[in-house]
Amino acid sequence: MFKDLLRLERFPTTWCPGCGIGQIMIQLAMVMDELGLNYTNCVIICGIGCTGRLAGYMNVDSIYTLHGRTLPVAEAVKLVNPSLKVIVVSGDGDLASIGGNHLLHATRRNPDLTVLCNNNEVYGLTGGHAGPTTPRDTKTVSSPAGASYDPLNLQNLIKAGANYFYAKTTVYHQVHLRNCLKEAIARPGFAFVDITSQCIENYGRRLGFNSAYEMLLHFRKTYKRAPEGAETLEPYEIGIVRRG
Amino acid sequence: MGKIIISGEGGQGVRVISHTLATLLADLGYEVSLLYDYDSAVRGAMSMAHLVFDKEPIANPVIEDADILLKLSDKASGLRAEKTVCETGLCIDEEIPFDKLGIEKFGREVFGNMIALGRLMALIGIKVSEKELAKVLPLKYPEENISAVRFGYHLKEEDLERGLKSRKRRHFDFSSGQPGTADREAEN
Amino acid sequence: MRRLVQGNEAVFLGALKAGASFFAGYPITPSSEILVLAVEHAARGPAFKFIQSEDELAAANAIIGASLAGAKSFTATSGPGFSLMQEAIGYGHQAEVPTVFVNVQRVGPATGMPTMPAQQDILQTKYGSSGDYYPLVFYPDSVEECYRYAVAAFNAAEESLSPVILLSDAFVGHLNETVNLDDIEVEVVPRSRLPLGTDKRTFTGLAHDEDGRPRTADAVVYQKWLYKVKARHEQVAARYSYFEFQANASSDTLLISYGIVSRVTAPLTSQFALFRPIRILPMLGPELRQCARNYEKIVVIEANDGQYACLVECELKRDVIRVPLLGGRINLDLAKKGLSEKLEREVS
Repeated sequence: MFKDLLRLERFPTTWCPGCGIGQIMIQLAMVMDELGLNYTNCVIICGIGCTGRLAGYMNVDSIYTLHGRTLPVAEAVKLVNPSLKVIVVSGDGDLASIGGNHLLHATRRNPDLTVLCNNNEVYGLTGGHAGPTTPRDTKTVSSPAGASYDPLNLQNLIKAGANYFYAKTTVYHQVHLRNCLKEAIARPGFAFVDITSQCIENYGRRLGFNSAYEMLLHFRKTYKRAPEGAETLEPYEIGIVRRG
Repeated sequence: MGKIIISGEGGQGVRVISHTLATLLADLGYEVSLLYDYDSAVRGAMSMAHLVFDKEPIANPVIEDADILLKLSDKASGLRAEKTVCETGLCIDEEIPFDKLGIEKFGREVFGNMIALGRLMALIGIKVSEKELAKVLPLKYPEENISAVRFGYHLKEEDLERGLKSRKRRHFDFSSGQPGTADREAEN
Repeated sequence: MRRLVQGNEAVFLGALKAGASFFAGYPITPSSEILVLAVEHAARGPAFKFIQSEDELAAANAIIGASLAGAKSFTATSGPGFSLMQEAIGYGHQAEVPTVFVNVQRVGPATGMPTMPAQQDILQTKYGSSGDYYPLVFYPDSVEECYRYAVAAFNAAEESLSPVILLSDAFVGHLNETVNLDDIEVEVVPRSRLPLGTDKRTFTGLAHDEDGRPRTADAVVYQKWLYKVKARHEQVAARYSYFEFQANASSDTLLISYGIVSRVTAPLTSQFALFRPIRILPMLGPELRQCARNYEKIVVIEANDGQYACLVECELKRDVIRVPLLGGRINLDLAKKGLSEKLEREVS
């Protein structure tokens, strides 16, 4: 039962009603249950931010690291005990801004890790500051005149490695998300799952969404499946690109 | 107790000379301390080694007044020693054109540092077989290195521009554990 | 076997003796020899793991992860890298992770003098990370001590469940001395906590309770935790009270020095009483008080601008005379000169 993997006694969670992280956690638990992953063979490493709280709600050994440092910690854990499945769950800022250098080197060293990136385009927990994946011109608490830069192209960054696995999906596309997770976890190497997710309170509302549900509908409308066999995902396409 | 300072610049072989000498002395049963004091550059900056050897464990590895100073370049200042052996032009005690001899006798300037090592060994009075020496020398160019050390060990006046006849001749007696000094007539 | 061993080499061999099986690091003078020894050792067999991290932030965090996964882990760096690692050190104290950080000190601040010895990170070991924490810090002064106190550092880490700092400096790290490490007997404290993958624990940098559950708004729980950790560290420290003291009935001055400076001032034993802390932190309060009792003057001679002197003053509530040896020039002549100046008499 996937619920065995959740610390239900600690619910309700700290996340805002409608937050995408909760849904990612459920999908992850379902996939772990399907794959037979539990506290004897799996460790979850979380970063700082709302996403990081996930570690505390799952019934496995977990580490809630310093901001940006999930990858060095996870790689070391895997190196010491290769029999463990090591799953990293973190946010876009934690992974691609302060954690950016480690992400870069993960594409080079290709450690056997699965990374779930809760990509909600914002630093939610601190109040809604712009992040490395915030689209240009988006108004946030730290970009009141609109974000001045283009967002990082995570796909291209992951593709810097000789071998790579980059999955793009959204919280709305639950079945697709689960399939991405299954393949990512099974892959013996670095697998990055970029999950577009909704932060309603500190991001969505400022953009004009009235509810998380509206944001999910927006994901449904905006994101389309990439064509079969595509080697590059275009903006707003969900799918998996891989080499090796 | 013997106190040797080897001073040069990065690339001249200060480490090789000092570490080889230290290893030889350690193998002979001495207590040895070897301390490096060098500037931050791969080539061309100050590089010094302080080598102390004694029968007893060594308290202070930093040398104030050396028994012998080997000066391969003048990057370091303020060094004091009873006897100085140096590259041409760097002192008024015993000048040996290491670079020149390195090229002349062994084809490369850098073998001068092995000649210097040999000279130091002779001054200290270390006797080791070539087999023992080969064990501690660098792996590259083994024959040239041994020959250069042997050459430096047996350096005679006619090999040198200015001669080994120096103003002060010192005899070092390390066997008693005390550095002894006794003036001696220069030998011809 | 008796042979010439380098200080940094002795640290590495001590780590191995203590059971270390994981090293992550970043090359930085004058500690890089330890990294190279680690990679060479890792190549000899699968039991020892090595990562050359992309930066010190990664290295420091990697050894935390490795420790939680069950390995005795360590890293080695110098001042600038040590500064980068401070957050991870704090994390190790908050999450209670046994590991060892080796800092082979050089002149700072910042890039400073990469090859010159200094003792300028003393206060950084105490206050470098945010928050209140109670680090254990050791500082050997010889090649043999590098070996012994590397083992001690790992043992203290296991007992205190915290990151222990092993200090060294550019001179000690690169010093070669004749030693026989095989003859040195040491005890090794085994790992007690179960590794990751055996339970349902959360290890976190957040303030937390006994179960590891984040408690980010409970002052009572926090204080209880902090004082529990403090007491544990003090109890462990009491078992590692390493220092040397040579009384001198004919002197009115106690000369305190440590690390390479204590080697250089050793010949002054006829003129001063000498105290050498090997455990730098927690302060050797009772020991210092006892040894300093009969001496009118206390001098701390160190390769920084009065960092340990500051701690001694605070601990003893007595004035301390400072003799700094700065910029990598550490020798007896300068020590005598500095002492003469500060004591206003000839020290020769």
